Amino acid sequence: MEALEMYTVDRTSDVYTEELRLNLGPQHPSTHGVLRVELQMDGEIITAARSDIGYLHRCAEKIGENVTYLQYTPYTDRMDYLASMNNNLAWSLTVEKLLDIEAPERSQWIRVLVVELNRIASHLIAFGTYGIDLGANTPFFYAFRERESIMALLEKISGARMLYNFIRPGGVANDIDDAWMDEVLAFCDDFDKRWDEYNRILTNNHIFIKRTANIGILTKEMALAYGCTGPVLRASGVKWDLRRDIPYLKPYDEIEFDVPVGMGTHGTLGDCWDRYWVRMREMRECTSIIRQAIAAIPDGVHMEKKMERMYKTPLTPEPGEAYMRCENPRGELAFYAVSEGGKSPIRCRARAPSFCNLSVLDKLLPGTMLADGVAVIGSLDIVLGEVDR
Amino acid sequence: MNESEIISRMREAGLGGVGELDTSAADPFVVIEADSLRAAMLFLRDDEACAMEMMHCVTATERKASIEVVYHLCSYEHHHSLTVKVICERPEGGTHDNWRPAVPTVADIYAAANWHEREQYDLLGVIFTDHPDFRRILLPQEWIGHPLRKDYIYPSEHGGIPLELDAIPLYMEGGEEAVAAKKAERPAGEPLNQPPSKYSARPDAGGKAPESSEGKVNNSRDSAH
Amino acid sequence: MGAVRDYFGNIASALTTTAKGMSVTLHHFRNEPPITVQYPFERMNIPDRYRGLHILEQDKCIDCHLCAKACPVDCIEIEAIHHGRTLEWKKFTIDYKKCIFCEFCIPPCPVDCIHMTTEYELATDNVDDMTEDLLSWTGLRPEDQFAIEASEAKKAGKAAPTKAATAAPEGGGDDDDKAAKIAAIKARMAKKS
Repeated sequence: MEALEMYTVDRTSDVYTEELRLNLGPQHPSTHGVLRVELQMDGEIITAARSDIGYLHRCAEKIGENVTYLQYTPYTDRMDYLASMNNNLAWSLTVEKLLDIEAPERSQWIRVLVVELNRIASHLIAFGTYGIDLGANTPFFYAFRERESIMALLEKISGARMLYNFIRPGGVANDIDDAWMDEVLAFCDDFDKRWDEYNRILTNNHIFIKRTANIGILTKEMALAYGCTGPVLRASGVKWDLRRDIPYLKPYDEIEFDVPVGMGTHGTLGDCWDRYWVRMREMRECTSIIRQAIAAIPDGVHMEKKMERMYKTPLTPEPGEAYMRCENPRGELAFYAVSEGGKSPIRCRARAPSFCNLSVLDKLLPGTMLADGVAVIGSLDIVLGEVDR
Repeated sequence: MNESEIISRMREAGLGGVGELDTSAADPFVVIEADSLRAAMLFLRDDEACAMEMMHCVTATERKASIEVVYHLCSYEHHHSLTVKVICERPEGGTHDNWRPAVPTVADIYAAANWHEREQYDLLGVIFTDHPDFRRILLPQEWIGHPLRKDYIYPSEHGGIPLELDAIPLYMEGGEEAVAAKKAERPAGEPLNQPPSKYSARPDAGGKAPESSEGKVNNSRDSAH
Repeated sequence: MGAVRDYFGNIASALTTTAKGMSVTLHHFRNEPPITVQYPFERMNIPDRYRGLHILEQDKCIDCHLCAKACPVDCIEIEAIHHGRTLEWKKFTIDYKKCIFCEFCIPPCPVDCIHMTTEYELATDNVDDMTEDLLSWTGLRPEDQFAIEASEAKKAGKAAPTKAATAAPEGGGDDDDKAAKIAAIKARMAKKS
């Protein structure tokens, strides 16, 4: 570990404090999973940090080489288990790119709908747990209540509460009906009211702002160098959203939405508060996207009839390779699948957004207090299932 | 710019070892020789017209005749992307136990590549020479072997805990017969993957640290303390 | 002077914004109904599409193994002996320790005989109970037995035995067995629905 120069202990002076080595995690509520961070402490100040991952490694890439293309879809659920729909989408698009096909138009709109609903659910977790990290318990329960309604909505169409396995190569598993869309609209109306409550209870709270503003400043250059994506990158002032800039689904081309970026409202650009606020504003954009999608959703089939034979005979794409990037709640998820003409890919790589976002932690922590370190980890919003895969 | 324009720009700048653009795949890619990789990456990052400020992903892929290291680069400024490949040919008789391809690191050019390269070393055993912090990242430091290689054999025990033997995967070629043969040739009671490869620095396993030409491998968790 | 003003300003701001937040909490406390479901006395509504435990229509099943092949985790085990078109059932189990409820076993079925129910309670105090037997009866039913024996006898060139002659020696024991099995599946169905 490279210690910060300005914080190395001056052993020549008469009185000095011995540096302390501290293990944060792997079983620690603030690390959002099984992440271990080795900290070198000078009193209350972190002088060096090194994160240690791999406690949740489940060989997802090895499994991908031993199952068929379709069978891998439920495994992608389990990478970022808070945004399963988005993971399904990324993998399905990768397989479709390999097969050189396009999903029917209605299914693309359904995909946008469920993906944005899942994005809200995922950001709600980030919002709720961030409150708990900083000592505000109430928002967590409110966030979970709204997430519960999203889970109930997605359960109705997919049949599962968390690991949906709903978006599959060639379309989606089930069609949706008008009654369900009415429920989604009702939820969006309700959610916008709740969103104002969240701001009253947490966002504008003076103590919360003091705990997050000017903490863990991630500059634009650092964010780019370390490959940060998603809200973490946007909070540093880069206006980049894959949905807007390289639309990977047709509807994103037609839907109008804003890309929130950090502005350094209460402190410096790229601090913890900016990352938090970008996520909060993204939730509002999601409800707007959902409303537009429901207004414009065309009739049609949810999956091509000829694709349904993939359930019986495994898909065998032509030899080749495909790299597909998708905007997940945590950043850009990309799958890289290499086919040699067989039933399963010979390489199945997942570029996890949390993995890259977490790699910047070692540089963000030195110089902050231990209690602020918790705020920094929480603001990166990592899911260890995805970091370790 | 599209990919072919980027490549012609690289040629104009006098970069050697840049191959032709292969458009057979869904994503066109260009093969670059390992020796000129770092110069090419520096050019791609710093050139204004390319401005690839983002190293999206580093992947190693094992094929029958080679191990490919694939770099996915993209630019936020110009909305273009490029796939760069370095191909390490498999030497005669190169297997999991005796062959570790070596590629120069780009971790100092793109900080994002640091963890990606560590992961590819961990899972596929690609040595990235001169990497600043070359340790395993996902698996335990004392793990033996690189599980994503096609001819990797699962250990029958780890840390004294027996593992399921049925979990041996099908090999790329040979199928179930090869698995049965592998199972049969393993002496009873002796764990798989023993003796370990020379890259293991675990003293009790009889391994030794690799030569300096193949990169610095710091297998000890406590050495930096 | 500025520092003092900042100090007290911070305190005042913290108090007012926290009071604002508490007003939201108070509003919820007074106006919002409780949303906790008192499980196991109350149950949540489970939608029809829910992917729960499996159920098998054994009479339809043709032992084609398509569901087992489609399974990503290999949790379905099927064993049956074919006597022409009649099946002598040995085994049809799902290992719920492995099952990930992905639903891929449902669409490949050519006769539409395997389904997922809305049953979701898997908790048990014995690991072996996690392997669920989907068969309601094993072996051959008496009428199938009779049909097979009749055809075999025909092949052998003998006169077909009368129904009474073959059914009688097997006796009531088989019938009792069958009745017990039917009772068992009925109990299981009742539990599932």
